[in-house]
Amino acid sequence: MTWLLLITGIAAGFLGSLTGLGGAILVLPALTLLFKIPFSYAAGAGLLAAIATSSSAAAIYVRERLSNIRIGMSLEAGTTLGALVGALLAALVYRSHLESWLFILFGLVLLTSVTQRTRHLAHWHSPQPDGSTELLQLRGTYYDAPERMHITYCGVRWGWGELVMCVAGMLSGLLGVGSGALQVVALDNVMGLPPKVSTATSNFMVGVTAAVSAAVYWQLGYIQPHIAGTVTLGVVIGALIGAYLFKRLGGNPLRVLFTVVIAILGIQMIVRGVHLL
Amino acid sequence: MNLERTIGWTLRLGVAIASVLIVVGLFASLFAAPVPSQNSASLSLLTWNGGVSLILYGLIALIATPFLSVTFCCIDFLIERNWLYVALTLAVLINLLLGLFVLPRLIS
Repeated sequence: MTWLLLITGIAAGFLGSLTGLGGAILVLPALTLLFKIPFSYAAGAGLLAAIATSSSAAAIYVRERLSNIRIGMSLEAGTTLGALVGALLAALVYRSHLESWLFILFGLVLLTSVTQRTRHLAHWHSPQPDGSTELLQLRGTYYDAPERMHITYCGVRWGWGELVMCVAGMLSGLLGVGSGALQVVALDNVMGLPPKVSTATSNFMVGVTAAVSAAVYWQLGYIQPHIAGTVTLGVVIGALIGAYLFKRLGGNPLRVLFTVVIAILGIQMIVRGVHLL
Repeated sequence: MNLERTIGWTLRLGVAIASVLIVVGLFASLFAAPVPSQNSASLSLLTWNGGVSLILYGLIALIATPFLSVTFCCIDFLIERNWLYVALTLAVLINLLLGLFVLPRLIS
């Protein structure tokens, strides 16, 4: 059982990071669909895997000054508040045995993440600073290696960004994910940050968001040490391999194939949910 | 204090320590099958359960890692006397405390 969990963790981490969705997002579908592990334990394991993978990635991004710590911190107040609400909702859902709805919601989230496209720097333009830019000092510079130039940017529409972040945090607590995909939408499309900064900053934020959810899960007993420990270990290993290949594969058709696999998992989650209704 | 370096090292060390504890814990419990009734609420952190305790400590290290980096941010903003950001980082830490101590009691 432990070995199977470890291998599943490696596969989930590999697929998740190779497709750029995040190493931990496939933990819950794998555990619930393949191992029939209760939703609460699977979500608890997913949260810990999200902390581990995003922290490893953020460690590199922060040192390269790609993550904007200030913008990240200004939004974490919202994600962590959302995480509290989400974890509370999850507890109520488990108690009323309404997990079927969580399966359906998870499937929908997975399907929307798959269809989401990352923008290229060529299509990015720095927005006009607004009131929140000045008030919250949402500015930064990073060195873009492929373009060989320093890129100066600023964040705008902080209030709207924070609102989306609250929703992202809620999904994290409710479904046991890092909700990095939605955070990237908020940073990229709402606040106007360059794509690389969005990804790097969201990795820094996911750890904190998932840790607040995990704290509530811990106290309520939704974390099974063996399952969470083994899977987290596997996901970290798998995500390392996936991230290594991610840089080399680029737009390789193999990635399209893997994305289709994830879409099928999403559909299976919805089917499972409908069955349980 | 170089904030970027400090946070980078905190995150890296936190994940490393957690991974080592989990690996040793798994070996110490001889890769026993998970006992479904054993979970983070039913197991006490103070009583020694061999490998399972080590895994639990590893998981706690993992959860604590992001908060250590938030705490370092908070200290850095304090040194800069950037009060707006001190307040924002404190809000994150308060949310964590609410999640650990207040919320679970509200619903149980």
